[in-house]
Amino acid sequence: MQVRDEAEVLKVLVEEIRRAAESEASRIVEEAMRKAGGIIEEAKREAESLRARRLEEVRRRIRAEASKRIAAAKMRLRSEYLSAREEVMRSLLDAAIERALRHMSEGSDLYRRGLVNLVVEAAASIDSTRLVILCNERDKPLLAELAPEIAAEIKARTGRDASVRVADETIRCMGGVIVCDEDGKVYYNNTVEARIESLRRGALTELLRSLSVDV
Amino acid sequence: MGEIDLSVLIEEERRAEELVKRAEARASEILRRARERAKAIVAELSKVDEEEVRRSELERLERLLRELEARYRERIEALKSQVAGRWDEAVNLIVAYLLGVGHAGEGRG
Repeated sequence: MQVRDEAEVLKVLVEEIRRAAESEASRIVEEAMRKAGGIIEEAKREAESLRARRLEEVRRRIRAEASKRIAAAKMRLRSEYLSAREEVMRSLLDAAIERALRHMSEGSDLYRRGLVNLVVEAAASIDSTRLVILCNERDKPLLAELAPEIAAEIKARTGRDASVRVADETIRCMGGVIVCDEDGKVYYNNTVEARIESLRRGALTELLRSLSVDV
Repeated sequence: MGEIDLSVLIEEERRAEELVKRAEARASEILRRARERAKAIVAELSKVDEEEVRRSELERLERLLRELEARYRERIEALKSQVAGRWDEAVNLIVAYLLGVGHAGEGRG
């Protein structure tokens, strides 16, 4: 009976030792497998990040290499657009100048009204009551005829009593006037050429925008 | 109760230690292989085919340039079309400006 008890106790002890060892061995292996999984995941993240950095570096290098070409292409396109825009505006201006020249050479009512406006507009910016009008040979008689009307219009628009006379000398221009004070020190250039220049400097863009033409 | 045969227990303890040592060796091998695999993964997955990237990047830039070019062409055509559609009005407006019967003057003093 005693021998059997001893054998039973020994068996229990042996099984306990074996179970504990197997449990520890399993824990060690499972822990290693868990760590291994972490190492692989970390490696994937690192690889992804490294790849992204390398890609960006390569792309940056290629963009830098291509930047000159892109800048040149953009400049060419911009230049083509500006040329086309210039061409369109030049065509408009040429057509308008041609039509304006017809009005001027015919001395049309429109031009007569315009001449009065051009002189009054110029007079309004000159602080003098003795104004001299310079114009081309063609417009001299017309302006001489319009002088009283111009003086009245200056009075109406500026409240100033100004004497207006057409100069004996003439200027070379398509039309319009230069108005100056008696001394010729202050003048206002309202010739058609000056107005064409003003259109070229930007007024044409404004005019077209007023027609909702986006230039 | 008589004495337990300790030699059996000692032998079992030895076996248990061996089992744990084998497990530790296996764990060490698992980690060694994982580190090797990690190196291979980093080397493999971080590879960049520079020629392919260059080709695709240049294609992207070409596409951008084509789009930019198309936009400029559209702008030019839109401008021509707008002006053509309001040609007479525009010319009349400019004539009025030139003759002084339109917009406020911009002569120079």
